[in-house]
Amino acid sequence: MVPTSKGKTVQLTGFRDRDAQLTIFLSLLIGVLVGLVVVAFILLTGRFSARLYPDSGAAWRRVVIPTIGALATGFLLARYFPNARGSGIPQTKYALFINNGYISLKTVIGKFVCCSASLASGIALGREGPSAQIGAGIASVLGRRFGLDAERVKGLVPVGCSAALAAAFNTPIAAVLFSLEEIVGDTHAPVLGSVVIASATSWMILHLVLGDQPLFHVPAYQLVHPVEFGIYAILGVVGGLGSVCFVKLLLAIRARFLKFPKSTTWLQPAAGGLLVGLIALFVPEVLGVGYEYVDTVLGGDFVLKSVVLLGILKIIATPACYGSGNAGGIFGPSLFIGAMIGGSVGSVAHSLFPHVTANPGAYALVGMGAAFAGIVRTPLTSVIMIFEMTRDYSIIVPLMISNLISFFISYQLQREPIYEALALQEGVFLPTAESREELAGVRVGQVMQTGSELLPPDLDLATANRRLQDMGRNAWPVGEAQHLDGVVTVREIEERKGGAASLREVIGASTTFPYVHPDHPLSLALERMGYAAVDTIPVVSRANLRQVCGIVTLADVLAAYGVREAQKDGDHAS
Amino acid sequence: MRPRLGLIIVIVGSIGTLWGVDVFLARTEHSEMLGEASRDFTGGSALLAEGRASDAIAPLRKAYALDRSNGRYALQLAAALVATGKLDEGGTLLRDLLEHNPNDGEANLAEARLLAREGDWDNAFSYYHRAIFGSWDSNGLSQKVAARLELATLLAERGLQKDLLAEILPLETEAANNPDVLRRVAQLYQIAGSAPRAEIVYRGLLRENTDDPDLYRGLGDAELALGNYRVAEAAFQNAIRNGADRSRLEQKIQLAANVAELDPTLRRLTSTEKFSRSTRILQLALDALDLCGRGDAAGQISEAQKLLAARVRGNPANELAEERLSMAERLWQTRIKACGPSTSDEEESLRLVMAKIAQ
Repeated sequence: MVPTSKGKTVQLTGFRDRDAQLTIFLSLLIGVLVGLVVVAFILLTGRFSARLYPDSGAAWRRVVIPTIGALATGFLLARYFPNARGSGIPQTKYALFINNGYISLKTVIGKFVCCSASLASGIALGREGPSAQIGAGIASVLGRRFGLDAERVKGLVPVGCSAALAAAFNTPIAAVLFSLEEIVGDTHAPVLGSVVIASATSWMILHLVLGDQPLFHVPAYQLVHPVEFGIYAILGVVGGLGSVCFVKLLLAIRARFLKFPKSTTWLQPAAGGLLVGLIALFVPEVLGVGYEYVDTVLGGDFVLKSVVLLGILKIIATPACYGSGNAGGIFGPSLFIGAMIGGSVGSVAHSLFPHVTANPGAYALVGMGAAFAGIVRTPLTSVIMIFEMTRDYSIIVPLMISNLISFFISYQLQREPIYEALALQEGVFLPTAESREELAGVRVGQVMQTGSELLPPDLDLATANRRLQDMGRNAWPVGEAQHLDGVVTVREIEERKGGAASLREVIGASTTFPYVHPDHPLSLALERMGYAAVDTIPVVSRANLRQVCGIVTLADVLAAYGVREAQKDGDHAS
Repeated sequence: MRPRLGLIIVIVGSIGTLWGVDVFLARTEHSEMLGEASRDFTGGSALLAEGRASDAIAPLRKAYALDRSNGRYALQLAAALVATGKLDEGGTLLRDLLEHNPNDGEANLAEARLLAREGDWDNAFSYYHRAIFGSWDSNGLSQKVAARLELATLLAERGLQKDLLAEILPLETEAANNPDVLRRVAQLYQIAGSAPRAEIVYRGLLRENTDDPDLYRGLGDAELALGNYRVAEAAFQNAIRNGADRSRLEQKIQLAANVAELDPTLRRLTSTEKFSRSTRILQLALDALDLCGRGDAAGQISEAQKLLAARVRGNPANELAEERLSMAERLWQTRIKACGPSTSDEEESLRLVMAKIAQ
């Protein structure tokens, strides 16, 4: 229902229908295009990497290729694609919150080319973050090409992001959740429908091209004994501590590199490339995303010493690569580190209590979720993501235990989430989940006026006009006692002056008028006031739209945001 | 708001191009991965065949990771895992395979081997039967025969003679044209206690292959079990003539000759010869009981000694021989009760004779 007068409603409904159709069409189109691009990105990176590292390749390649790869992409990033640096998630959030959803085609191309080259050369970063930026960029470009205004282009950014993650991770539900939980910061965002459509479409494209191959091949999970819940809690603690180490090291290295002169920006990624190359000379598994090794660990076939070593080395290599300015994400490395942590904890537990613990592979799986929750700070997404990977319901409870503990520890020891902290280092202040919650947390019921009298329906127009002017309002609810008949505006009174005797005739039998419910966020009241061009709006019961609970005015809303006096002064001045 | 035609053309063109690129890349990746998987599988299988199962696991695991749809890779990996004692992982792999295709003969056979290794005999035998009646990609009949033969061997090792006989009977029909399997079938008949069937199979095989020492040796064993000691002796002699190791058969020939000279059940024996043999058998039974060292059979021993000391003039009557044999049987039973079944080589002739008399 569009909250305004009858005539306008018809017009707006028609407008909104076209709008909805275009949104659905664009969501589908974004799903298809992003799915195709991300699949190409994954395949191209994989094939390129296979060429650079053939099975019988010499060891020196592992040092030289990442260094040269980082040097080449460093030059491209510094010279041509400065916005394609880094993970892609903070950049997508910049676009959403700062640049009105604007991501240039050049950035999309740059991200694709640079990340492809950098990841194929063995840089220890992930492909999912860049995919998200590529997806968001494609959505942004499409929106602009279709002539959408800035606000609606902004709305497409999470749509593209979710389509990209659905294709990159092969987890459509987690992609939707991540886009809402991390990118938009609101799981009830109005773009939910579009995000779901795009995610599902993109996932379908992935399956059409690559078939039904999961990202990881996971053996059937089973909880052997309730004692395991305790071990999963320990895993949550270790995962949380590991996550904090990773995040703090990454931020410290990034901060250090940012202090170097601007002229060295193109050279900096080579430092990360060289370090990862030197590590890979002795431990090749540290190169690239490392999903093949994760698969092995999930199968339970590993040696404790090697998983511990790999976990530590990845915690060093990934921050070095990211901090030095290489292009690539941290999703994949988070999962890798989590698998190693989980594998280590599981292996120790299994050797101590072989009869009450599952195969260490099961712990590696839960560890992936724990590290993801600790590093990326999206606990809901991480639970759903691992659940989607395993398609096994019985893993949910251990996952929840580990993830929440890891999330809590990470939150306690590193307050600033990684993406916000990275943005802050660049001088950008992104809204945190907390600040968004605070903003969205103010409800209409908290600021509405109760006991205000409605304008009686039998009131003549002249009196009504005078009373509105006395109150300094351009609209007011009409009704008797607590029964609402509608909302009348000064403009409507003036238009019907001489033609109608009372307010009842002006509002007629209208069923469409602006209103809000007490549990609505204050922002919605503001939005509806703006939409209907009124400064007063009735607050009605959810059980009965004609039952008035109170009235909320523009002044009340502004006061809740702490700008009442200034606004009033402004009004008087104008 | 309405998109221009040019934009639509660009979008449609982009989708078409991207689709083409994706399909090309996906096919390239698929074929490269299949090639790599095949190479790893070949290498891993070679290592497994050399008995280096632990070295074979890594390449086989990689092959399976690259091509999960290939059941052969999974089976070979499971075999390597089982061979190295990683029964849990091997079992999980096999159960996944069986979940997708419960009728897969090869997977059922591998699962049966795994269960046998774990000592879960009932389930192992059940999976062997599923393998025998399951589907096989190629050489179905020979694979099924091999599976049944493996099951029969296991049953023989477990001493389950009735179950063993139930498996060999169909095996004889299924492998009618396979001399190698029939040779094993004959051995298994022997183990299952069906010497007459073993003899028939050996004789059938000897018709086709008259100079095979192993067949003669097997026939000799069957004849020995049947109580045809002279025929057995001749078969062992034939085996030696055809190249069998004399030293290994010498003892059997001697045994067959000894038993043949002791056997009182032979037709056409004169009453004197039968009496003489029964007296020797009684003496041997007495010696055996004496060797066993039990003094609580003093009555029987004294009775036997009396019989042995009794003088017989002229042609001894058949009853006298039967009396001595009956006494010998009682002494032998007492010896078995006192000291358990005989396992000594010295008593082997007596054991065989007593078994034949009991028949």
